[in-house]
Amino acid sequence: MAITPTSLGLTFDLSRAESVQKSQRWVLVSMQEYGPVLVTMLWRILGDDEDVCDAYQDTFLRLAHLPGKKKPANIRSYLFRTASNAAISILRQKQLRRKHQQILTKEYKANQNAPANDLDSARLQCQLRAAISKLPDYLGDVVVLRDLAQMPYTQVAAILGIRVAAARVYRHKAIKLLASWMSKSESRDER
Amino acid sequence: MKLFTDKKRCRSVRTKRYGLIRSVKVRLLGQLSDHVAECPKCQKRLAAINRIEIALMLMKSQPCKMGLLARANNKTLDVLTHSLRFGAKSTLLRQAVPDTNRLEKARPFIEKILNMAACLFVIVMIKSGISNSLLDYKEQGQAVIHNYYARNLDSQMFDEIFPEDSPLTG
Repeated sequence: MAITPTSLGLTFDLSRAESVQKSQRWVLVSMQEYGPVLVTMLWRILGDDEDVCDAYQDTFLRLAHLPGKKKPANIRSYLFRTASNAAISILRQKQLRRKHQQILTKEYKANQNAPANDLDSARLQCQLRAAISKLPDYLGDVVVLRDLAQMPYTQVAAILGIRVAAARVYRHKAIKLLASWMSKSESRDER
Repeated sequence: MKLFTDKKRCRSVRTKRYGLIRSVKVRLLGQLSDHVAECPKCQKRLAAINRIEIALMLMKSQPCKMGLLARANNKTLDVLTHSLRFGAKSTLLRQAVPDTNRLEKARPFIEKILNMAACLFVIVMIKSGISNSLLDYKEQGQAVIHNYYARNLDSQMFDEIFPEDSPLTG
């Protein structure tokens, strides 16, 4: 009697699984290669373990389930862009949730008005994260890759498919926008 | 009208670019710093940009937990297809630890070497008599100042500045 997947009680075709494993092994290879850098970048953007895990999982799931199970031409570029987008969308969701909570309870406002040190690091980081989530995608990507992933402009430009000069200009614009938003929110808090 | 011209000048100083001729002719950096010293708006702008840089530095300086990479890998592997989940590489990924760079690893040794070098430098200074000559220079300098004040000030003021030399204190 021939041994078949059904006779072994398997719910999937063994030969097919083997072929999938071989054809998709690059997902694990890229996870091994870019995982540490991606986790560091995501940690800097999000600052929360659970959120980092979620964004990381989302990134690799998207990579593994690309239409037609195709390998992207530039895996590095794909991974960093997807991870940065996933992280920023998580930040946006958090911002929305916080706004909603603020409306429901006025506690947050009371806490914010409490006398605080001007350079309260947690508060400063929280404000910056909120401001980054408000940036348009093309500016947010540059700030995330250049400042939080600490990549040189050449790599940032290669990943985003823009020129190096454009990356520099975008970063400058982004910092100016962030500065104006942060100073506005600061003056609002003071009032 | 004055406000308008001030605004225009402020913008022109901020947006000036280095050209080959301009960099030779005009000291742009000096102009900019002079302008910032007297323009409250530009001071505010610079302060706001510095705040962003500080916040970014704070974000970068916070280290992530050691087990975070392994946790993220585990969570991701658990939702991948069965074949990938139990691949040979996945066991390695489940135990992955972030790799610190060589400079970070060598930091304790570098600090020790720097401390030793500083101690050696002090010993060499003492042995070679450089520190003694520095003390001599200091004493000579103090004597020059002392003489200068003694010549140019009246005795009452001199006693106030150098009370230890006054005849009353001995």
